[in-house]
Amino acid sequence: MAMRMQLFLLALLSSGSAWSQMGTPIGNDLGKTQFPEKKLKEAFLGNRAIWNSGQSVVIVLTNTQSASFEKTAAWALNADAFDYQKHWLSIVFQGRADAPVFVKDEKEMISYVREHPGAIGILHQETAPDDLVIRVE
Amino acid sequence: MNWLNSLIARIWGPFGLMAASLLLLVGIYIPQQQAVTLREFQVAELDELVKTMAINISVAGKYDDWSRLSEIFGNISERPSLEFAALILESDGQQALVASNPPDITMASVIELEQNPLLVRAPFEGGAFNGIVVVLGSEAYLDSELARLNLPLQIAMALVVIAVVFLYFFLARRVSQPLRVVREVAESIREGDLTTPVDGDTRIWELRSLNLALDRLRSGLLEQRRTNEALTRGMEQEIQRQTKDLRKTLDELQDSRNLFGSVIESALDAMVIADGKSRIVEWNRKAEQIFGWSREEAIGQALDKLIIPHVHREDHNKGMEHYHSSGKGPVLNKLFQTQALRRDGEVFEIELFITAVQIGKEEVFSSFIRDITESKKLSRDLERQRELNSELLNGLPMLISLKDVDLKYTFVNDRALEALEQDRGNMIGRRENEVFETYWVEDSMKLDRAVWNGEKVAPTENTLQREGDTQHFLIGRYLISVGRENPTSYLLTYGFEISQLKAVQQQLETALSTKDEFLATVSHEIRTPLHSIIVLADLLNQSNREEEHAEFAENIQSSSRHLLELVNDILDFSKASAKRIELAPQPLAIEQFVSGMNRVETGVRLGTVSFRKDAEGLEGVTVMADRMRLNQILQNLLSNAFKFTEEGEVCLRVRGARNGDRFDMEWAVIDQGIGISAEDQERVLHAFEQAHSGISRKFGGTGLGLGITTKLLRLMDSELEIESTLGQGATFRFKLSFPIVEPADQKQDMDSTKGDSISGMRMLYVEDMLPNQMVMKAMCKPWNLQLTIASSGKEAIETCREHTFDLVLMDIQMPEMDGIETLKVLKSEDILPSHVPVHAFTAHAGDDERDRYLQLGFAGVLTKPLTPQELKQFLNEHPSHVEGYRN
Repeated sequence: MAMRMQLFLLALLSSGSAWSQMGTPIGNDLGKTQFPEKKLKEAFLGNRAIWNSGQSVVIVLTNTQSASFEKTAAWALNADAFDYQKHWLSIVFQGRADAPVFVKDEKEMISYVREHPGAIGILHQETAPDDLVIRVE
Repeated sequence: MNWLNSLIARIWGPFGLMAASLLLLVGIYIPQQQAVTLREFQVAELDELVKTMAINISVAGKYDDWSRLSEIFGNISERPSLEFAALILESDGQQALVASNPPDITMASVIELEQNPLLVRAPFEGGAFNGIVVVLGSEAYLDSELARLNLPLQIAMALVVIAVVFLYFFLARRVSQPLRVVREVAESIREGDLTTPVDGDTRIWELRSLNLALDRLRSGLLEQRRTNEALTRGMEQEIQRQTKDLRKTLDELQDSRNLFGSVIESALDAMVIADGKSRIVEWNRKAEQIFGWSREEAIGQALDKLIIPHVHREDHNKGMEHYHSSGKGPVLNKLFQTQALRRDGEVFEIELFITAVQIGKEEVFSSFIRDITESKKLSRDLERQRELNSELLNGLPMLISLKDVDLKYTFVNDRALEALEQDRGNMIGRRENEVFETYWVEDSMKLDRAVWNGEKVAPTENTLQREGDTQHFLIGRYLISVGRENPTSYLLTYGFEISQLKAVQQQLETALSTKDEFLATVSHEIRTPLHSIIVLADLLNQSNREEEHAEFAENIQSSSRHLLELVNDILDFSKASAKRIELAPQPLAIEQFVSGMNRVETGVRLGTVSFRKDAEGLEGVTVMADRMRLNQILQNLLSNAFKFTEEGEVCLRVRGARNGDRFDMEWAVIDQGIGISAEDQERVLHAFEQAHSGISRKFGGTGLGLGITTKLLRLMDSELEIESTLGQGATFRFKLSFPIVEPADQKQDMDSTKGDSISGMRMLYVEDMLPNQMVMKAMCKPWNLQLTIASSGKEAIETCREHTFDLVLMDIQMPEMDGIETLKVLKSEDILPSHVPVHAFTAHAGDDERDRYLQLGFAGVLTKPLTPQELKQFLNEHPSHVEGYRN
């Protein structure tokens, strides 16, 4: 299937070790190959500033009170939301990474990712709304 | 323009001072003010920055609006005005530094900088985030900013300095140059250059006036100098003439002084010159050596305090006062001895000569001092040596006299005066025949002359009668010389008193005579039983009548026993004389011991003599005593008692009593014999001596018995006492004290209870003499003993290789291989089992030999001769360790 990827959205449809089989990277000229979980974790910990295509990495997170943020914190840092927040605050303070973009919910996240090349967010199966529709072009 | 120059000359100094002050003010104050302002500005800017950061963190925390955080924080590290920025979060009252820029900042370093005014902080509170943002301003940035701001000022100041320097040189040219010209002119005038005129060309009128005045001064001085030079030339000529005369005088004076000084310095005596106030004015090298003070130190010092001992100072000062008042000095121009004081405080003997000399109006005193410490010491040593020699000669235990060539006494020692009963005054300076009136004087003087004539004269023996006693002297003579360069000869006569030697010589001659008598007696005593033994043995050989055999054998046995006792007595006396007898105490039941005493067979039939024992207080008492030696004492005394009693009774009386843990006894042997005269009682106690030689001939005996008894009793801390009257018998009495043995301590008498246990014993007898082998065979035959005989050491070794024995008796003195060597081979080569005892069987009966044999490895020592009973008892007492033969 020749598919031009407009969206770089990684849908987390399952958890744990099934991630590498279940995940599908999509996006603008970025997802021609699958991303290993390790590389994605690096991005969500602020340790990756530029994608291979040369675009800046923009991390998109739901608001800090959300369950999705909590899940992302657990996945990326194996910590709670506060520590994940603190982690980002410290690396942004030290100038090692740009601050992530916080959105209200998953829908806004999808919208943001769609509109901003290089942006990336995580949708969690357990916390994604039932009526969420992901359109892949 | 002169007024302008004058004005400038007046104001340039104050102007320069003001300009320098202004520069100092501007150069210090303005940079300080700028630093303060810049620091305040920096703090305000930091405060603004940190507040912005805090607000944005608060917003990001509260509203998840992180959009400005990257923008604010991202360029922190690029700000040169910041040393660092730190993010500190607070949670549960605890602060933790979560991030810093640069990242190596720690919480501790932030706390450490609390007091730094450039440390600025701002709190934030944004939902989950509470804490503070801290930034520290950079001192280096402040410094660089300050330097940048101060650069224009520094340039301006440099321009001002350049201007001031320029002004200085300008003014110097205008004012200082003319003044320098004036100074140089003044200098040249001072140095004598009065010919160069002063250049008065200057634009400052005060200076021009000064130059004119200076030039007039120069002209006046020049004229004055010319006048002075004329005067000086005249004076110089006069001075040169006078100087020449003075130098000549001084040279003569110096020569004289050098001569005087060299005389003083080379003097052998110390020379000290003092003025009328006793201040030292001259001090030569010898004085330095004697007193220890250098010339520099001594000159000017008070004489009395420097070299006169404290005890003589007052006399010295009085003498000086007396001389000053009267002009008389009793010690002046006289040589006398006194004492002086060295630098180290030592007071020493000196010889002193003082003379007074008038020099101008002043009088000085020259002292010539000689240190006589050594000569005094030598004199004292000589005197001491003389006393020592005199003491030595007088203390010698010999007679010493010296005579001169006229044979007159020049010295007689105390011992000689005492022996000759003379006074020294009566002998010194007189000849021998003028002092003594004895028969040997003429002979003695002849011998003296002979010695003077160089003849050798052997010592002679002279006698002196003194208080009825005769003293013997051995007199010798020889010549001695005294002095090295002019020797003087004396005849030295010495004499030893040899009275004691004479007495000893007499005693020795008597002792030799006694010993000859003793040897004759012993010879007789030995020959008599030997004669009996030889004759009876011969008769025994010839006789065929059995009834005679027993009688002959009994006589042979009696003679042999007598001979043995004699030899034993001689040995005992020899050992006792050499103090080699040691007592061997053992428990002794004293009552049984006394009751066991029997009459003693003397071998001489002297008629009917009864024997009575009278003992009291001995019941049940056991003492530690040497049975054998006590028995020997009593046997000797009883033997004498029976020997010298022809008819009557011999009584042994013993009285005993406890004394604490000891038992005291008084023993007495009383006979009714011939008795001993008072003068003979002392003699009989000595060895070899009987009351008179006729006793020996009549009663026999060697005379050793009482001597041995006396020595044995002394070993037991006792003395033998004799009470006797000639013809009325004698009583020999002594006291003994022995430790009591309590019944519990008493040992069983093994000897009496031991049974006969030698039957079946396998005994090897090693003996080279055939008669002794036969005797042993004869002795052992009745005892059912398995006797094997080896005739030599080698045969004994071979026999032991082939047979087993329970006991070995080994003769010591054998040809080829003696008993000791044989024993070594038997032991070293394990030929004989180690448990088989080897006993020495020898005629060497001394204790020394016995100990030596035991040390060499013999189990016991048997002494020849030996009766069958004694051998049997020995074998019973020394059984083999192998008990098998008894079965």
